[in-house]
Amino acid sequence: MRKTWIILSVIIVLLTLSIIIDIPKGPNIFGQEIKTRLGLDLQGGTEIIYQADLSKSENKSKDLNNLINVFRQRIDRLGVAEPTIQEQGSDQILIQLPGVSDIEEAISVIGETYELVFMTEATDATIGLQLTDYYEDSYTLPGYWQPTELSGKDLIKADITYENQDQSMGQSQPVVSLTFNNAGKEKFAKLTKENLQKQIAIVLDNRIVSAPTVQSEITDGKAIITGQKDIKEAKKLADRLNEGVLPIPARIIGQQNVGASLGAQSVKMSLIAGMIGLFLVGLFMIVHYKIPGVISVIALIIYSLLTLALFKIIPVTMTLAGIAGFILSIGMAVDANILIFERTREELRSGKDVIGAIEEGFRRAWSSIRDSNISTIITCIILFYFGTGIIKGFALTLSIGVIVSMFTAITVSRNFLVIISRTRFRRFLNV
Amino acid sequence: MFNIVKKRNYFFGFSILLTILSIVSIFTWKLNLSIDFRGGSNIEISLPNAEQNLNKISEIGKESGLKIDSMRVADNNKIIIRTDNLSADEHTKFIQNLKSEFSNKVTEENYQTVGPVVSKDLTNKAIWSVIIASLAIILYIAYAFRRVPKPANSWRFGLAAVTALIHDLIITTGFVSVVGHFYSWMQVDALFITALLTIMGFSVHDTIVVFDRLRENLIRKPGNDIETLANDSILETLSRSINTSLTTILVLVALFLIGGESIRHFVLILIAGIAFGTYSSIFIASMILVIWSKKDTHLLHK
Repeated sequence: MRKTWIILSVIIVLLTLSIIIDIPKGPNIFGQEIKTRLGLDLQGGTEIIYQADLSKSENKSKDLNNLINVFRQRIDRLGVAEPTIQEQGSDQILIQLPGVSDIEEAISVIGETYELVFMTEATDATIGLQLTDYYEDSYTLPGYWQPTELSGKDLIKADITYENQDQSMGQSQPVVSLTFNNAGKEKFAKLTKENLQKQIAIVLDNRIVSAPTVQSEITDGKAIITGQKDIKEAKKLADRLNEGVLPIPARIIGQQNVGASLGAQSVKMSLIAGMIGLFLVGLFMIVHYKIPGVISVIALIIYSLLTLALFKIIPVTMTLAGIAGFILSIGMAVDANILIFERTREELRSGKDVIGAIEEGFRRAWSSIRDSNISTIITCIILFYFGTGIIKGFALTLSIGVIVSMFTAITVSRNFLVIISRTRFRRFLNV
Repeated sequence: MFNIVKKRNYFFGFSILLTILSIVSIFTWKLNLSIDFRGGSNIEISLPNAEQNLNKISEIGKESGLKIDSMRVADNNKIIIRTDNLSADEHTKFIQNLKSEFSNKVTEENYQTVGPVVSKDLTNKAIWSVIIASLAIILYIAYAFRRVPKPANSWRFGLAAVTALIHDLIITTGFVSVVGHFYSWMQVDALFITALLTIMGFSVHDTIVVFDRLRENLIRKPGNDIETLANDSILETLSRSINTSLTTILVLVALFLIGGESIRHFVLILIAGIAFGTYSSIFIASMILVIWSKKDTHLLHK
């Protein structure tokens, strides 16, 4: 008896927690608002799949990761809330941009190639170009520039470092430092040697970022770009330069754009249909099983609240396939109740008293609930491992649902039956 | 008391017939593959009086250089256009041309392009998932039923469950092929795969409930022959099997009627698959076990 009440209070605590989480405007926990994540098919947005060409790559996973970082930086500039950028298989990158409707613009920003080259002074327009300032488009720098062999390909990375520029003030100035690879080191040494006391321009997207005057030959493969106003500007430049390093060509192999209205409509319709369906199931259970039916409805409501709370906490991105997994798990949760009730009925028919029948009915139903659900969970794990996005979403919601349904079958359905069997309502349990 | 097991040959006959018809339909009528599997582009636009404007749109498509594969009207004012793989430029051009023709009455609701790499990936992964999941189910059932008394054999339980499962998947695919032949909205896309996986889960779930009862009866009534025990087990779990499927199908019918065009085919596949799954777990899975052990005793008496 004591055990029953302990379990009951655990249920009540869990239920309260999940109701708090389920409320549409989720609570802030650890400074993060908990809210339902909707997939692209439900909230609208753009999806692009890139295929990276890693045939020339020496360290495939590292290069792919670099590419992902580059994409992430560019997407950040689009100002998308909660973008997804992840690798898919060994050489694909999946990008999801919720709420972005202009797929062409997104592609142009993400796929833009940033060309970083180093240029030297040219004598006149026949061999040189006139270039504008990187930060001030309308300002054309004096002089002409010609490209050299040194380019973004020779760069390993760009970092932000600090340099004490004004000793008297004691302030340090953020600067961007460049590190070249071996080939770049040689080229840069040659370049600085040949252009002593002349300017070398660092040119990104045909605009001059910086044009320092060479003070001495630099042989250690490191260069510093000064002149950024603040840390923010320095960081932005370093990011751009790193993007210019982009070593791997990538092409689009799939894209999708879902209108927001279509997504919203699917959500609304599916929710309404789900509600009606659940209402019918509840009605069926009550008509067919009477008081136990009422218990199963309560168990189902608790089940739904717990599952939805878990979806929010984990968080699970809800898609149409995810909703399908959830609906199927409701079916299996109902099934657990039906199995228990049918079995209890049988035990009652064989002449057991109510309490004995419930205990025995549950015990006998449990092995089939356990085995069938474990086989479902095993299937889900395999699907999650081998499946693509849509299959993964389905497997995740289904397995969470099945686990919670086993929990509610053991705790809610069973204990409510036991509690009622100890009250004067027990006669209603007789079928 | 009904004797379902005695009539097993009718059920086998019915199932074999359906399986053959399904395979024939899959090969002759084929499956109505969506761009998820065959690659290509899908453009969904909404436009008032969609039906009357179909020809006009097809003309604009041709002018914009589209190779239109099929066009259909959905939900009264939506037009779904399937084309060969579009480049970003071709797509932009087409939408601009539409906008200049119909002013702002036309909006693009959904656009999808799938390259051949992605579609091949999905197919491969789906097939492998089903194969590996089936093997895992056989293993798990063989393990979970390891205590069934001799001469029953727990590996047979696993194999029988998976046979019933494959039967369900083939018939459901056949069903999709038949419906797809007559209705263009019944497409084989990523949701079709999801539906098949759902059916897989449900079918095994159902079968295990019956098998669990058979296991219990084998232990409790060791003297009886498997034919009687299988029949008892089926009858004892019958109301549960029907009630569970009924409740699930109730939810699905609600989804089918008002769930919107984009998941209608998905829901219909689920309804058909769950119905077949329930049928096979009642009438096929246990029967396979029965004829299997009958064959053994038959050989033994020879």
